[in-house]
Amino acid sequence: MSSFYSDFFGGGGGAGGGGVLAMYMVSQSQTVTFPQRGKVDVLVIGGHGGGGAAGGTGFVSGASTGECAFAYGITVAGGDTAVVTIGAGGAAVTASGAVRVSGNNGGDSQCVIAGRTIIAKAGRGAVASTTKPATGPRGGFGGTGGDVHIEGGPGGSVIATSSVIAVAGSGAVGILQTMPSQRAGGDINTTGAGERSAGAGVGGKGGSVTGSGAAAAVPTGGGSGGPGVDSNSGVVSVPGPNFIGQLQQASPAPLLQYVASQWGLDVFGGGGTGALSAGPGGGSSSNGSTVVTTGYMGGPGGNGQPGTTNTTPLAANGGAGGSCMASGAGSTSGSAGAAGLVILVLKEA
Amino acid sequence: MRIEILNASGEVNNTIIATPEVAEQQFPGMWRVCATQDEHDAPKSPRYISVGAFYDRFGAAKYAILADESPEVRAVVRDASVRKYIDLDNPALPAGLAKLQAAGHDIDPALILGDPILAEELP
Repeated sequence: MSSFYSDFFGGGGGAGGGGVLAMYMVSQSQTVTFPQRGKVDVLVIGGHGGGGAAGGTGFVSGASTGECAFAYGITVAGGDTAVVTIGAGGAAVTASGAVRVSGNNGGDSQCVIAGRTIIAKAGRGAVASTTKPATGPRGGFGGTGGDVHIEGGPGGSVIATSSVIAVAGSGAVGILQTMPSQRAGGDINTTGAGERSAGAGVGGKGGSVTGSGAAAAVPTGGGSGGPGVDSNSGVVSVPGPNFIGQLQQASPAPLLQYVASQWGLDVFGGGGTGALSAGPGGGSSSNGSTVVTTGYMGGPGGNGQPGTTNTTPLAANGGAGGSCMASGAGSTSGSAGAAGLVILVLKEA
Repeated sequence: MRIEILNASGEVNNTIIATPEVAEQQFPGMWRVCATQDEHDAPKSPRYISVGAFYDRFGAAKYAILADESPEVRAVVRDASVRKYIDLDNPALPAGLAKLQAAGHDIDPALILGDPILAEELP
């Protein structure tokens, strides 16, 4: 047991009580046996939806993330078990030629502990359509057994654009218990052209393409502390803020992270820009040419270029997959959603 | 791997990440391996350990490394010491460990980076 960890977890957040005795991050279905008595805080996250793909023409929304189910202070004895089932992420899809392919849904996750069954529902795959709107799917919801259930972040929508092809950003995970609308992927809703919107951060919606729009519009990814910045026409360089409002990708000072974090995860960074990768918890954004990465549990921005063959989507990073577009002459794909996750924190009774 | 969970009618109820052994334990006779497996199914939860635990993974070479005043080794040790935790998946980490080996310290990077994380190693 780390005393540092215990000091900051002790008595903080939830009914779990004392210092941390053990922490289990479970990313594959298994049975966890607790070595001693205590109280357990549980986080169950459903598998996340996968991105979709379009070749030539068409409209693809972002994907949504799985539900988060929180339970606090569950009493266990030494030798008791938690039976954990991890929902898969939505599998990747490929669009070869002038076709459109929707993303795949994730799988539900579950934890059975001390007679309680805690279920977190899966996120859903991106929606591909030949017509507008392509409405982003709602995040996972409807699970049972937890003390608190937080709906997943919805995918962004392609509402209006004069472009013949467009892809929206994906939603982010509800780890900070923010409202789903604050973790939605950016939309494309313009009277002009707009082709890509940004992914959400765990505390802020992804940037949208709005107003008169332009094919060159590059909004920015949402951060853990607020939304990304919309674009009316050009490239935006101001990212969604980190947890304390700084306009940067990096997480703030470590002390704040640990006080704020109950689950041992750093998701306190800012969003990405078309040229810079997102920080932890931040959504990403693509300018169509620079390779960027999405922050942990953030949403990938829509990617690809209408006239380019054989494009690659932005990958999931602990959250939903990303959608992508290409010319109809080659192929493109939607990236897989990440699998779910269960975290068990055993504390002193 | 991706496992499909079936209902009584043989329809897919859910898709999970599990080994076949665990799937049989949890859903006896009601599962099948997905036809399509995906490389992104590999778990990607963060692998963080405390700085102290990172040093402990140097094994018998720990104190020699911490006492080593050569510029390359000092740089690695100082870089690690100012961190709040060590991310075992940090792509820069293997290069740092290689500097320690180049300085003559007998460490095993594969074990340092690949051993399972114990509860007492968490940050």
